Amino acid sequence: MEITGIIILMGVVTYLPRLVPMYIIDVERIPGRLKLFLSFIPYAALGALILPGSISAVNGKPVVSALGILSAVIIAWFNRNIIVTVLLTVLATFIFISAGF
Amino acid sequence: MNRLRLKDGIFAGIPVFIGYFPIAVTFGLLAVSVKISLLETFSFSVIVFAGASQFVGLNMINAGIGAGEIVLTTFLLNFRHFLMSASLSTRAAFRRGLIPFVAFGITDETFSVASMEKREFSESYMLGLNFTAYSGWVAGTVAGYVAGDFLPPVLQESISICLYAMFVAILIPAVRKSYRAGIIALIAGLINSVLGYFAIFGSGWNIIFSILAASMAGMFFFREE
Repeated sequence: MEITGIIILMGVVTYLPRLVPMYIIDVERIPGRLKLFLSFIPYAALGALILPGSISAVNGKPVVSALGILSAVIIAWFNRNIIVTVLLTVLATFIFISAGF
Repeated sequence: MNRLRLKDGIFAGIPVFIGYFPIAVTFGLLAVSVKISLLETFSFSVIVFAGASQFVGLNMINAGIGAGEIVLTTFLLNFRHFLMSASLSTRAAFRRGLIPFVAFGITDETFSVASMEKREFSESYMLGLNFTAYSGWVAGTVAGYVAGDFLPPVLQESISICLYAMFVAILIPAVRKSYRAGIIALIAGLINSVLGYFAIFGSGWNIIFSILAASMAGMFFFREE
């Protein structure tokens, strides 16, 4: 039940910024600095999540976590397909765990 | 020149469908690893319909972070749609009664397709575009969850890296395009790591603070492109 509540609230706070400006906002009047700030938020969020995960992604295995995320960075650098990156990273991580890191 | 209509929108959405489907499959797979139900996973994609924040939400639910922090982070993440929605509304005079449906489907990708369109379009074009994109997202989610249910348990531990691989896969192309994205991400990551190490606030608030601080730093140090 709690998860359902979270999902509904997530839906509401996602929907409102999509809806409200269509009725009221004049986009020309949004200051450039604010636009810049808003454009950075997705990158900041990803960084905030990835870096601490580089020791905690795989429970109780900091070395595997670090190697796994490093692999993901290298794989993503050379291919743009998200699902390929995810699958190859899982494979690499599986190998690291099997190798006993 | 005729204005673009529903059918044009449905076709314009096909590349978005193709792009969304595998990402949504990934979301479905991850949902299995986080152990939420099929119905919850389905509702996630039907109700929220936003890529990055669904993955982030899943990650935070998995970490046992409180509802308030999850919802606030989602709000911050998706606030950028505010600008896209505002910008689209200057492109066409949508019929007011249909605006709630047009607005629901505004994502980074549908916005890109519509705003790059040089011809005039109507609200029915937007509805068609949104419909195709939304179908890909919801169908992919269910397909991923069903596939994930058949996964052998030996893979479960390696699967926990999925979510992070996904974040990396979204971030790296942006970093390759502009070094700024990488610097902002690094600053936010460092702040969040330090806050986490000293356990000053709860981890949800750490994430929110890191996002705001790094984006603000970027706003002061970088100029508009």
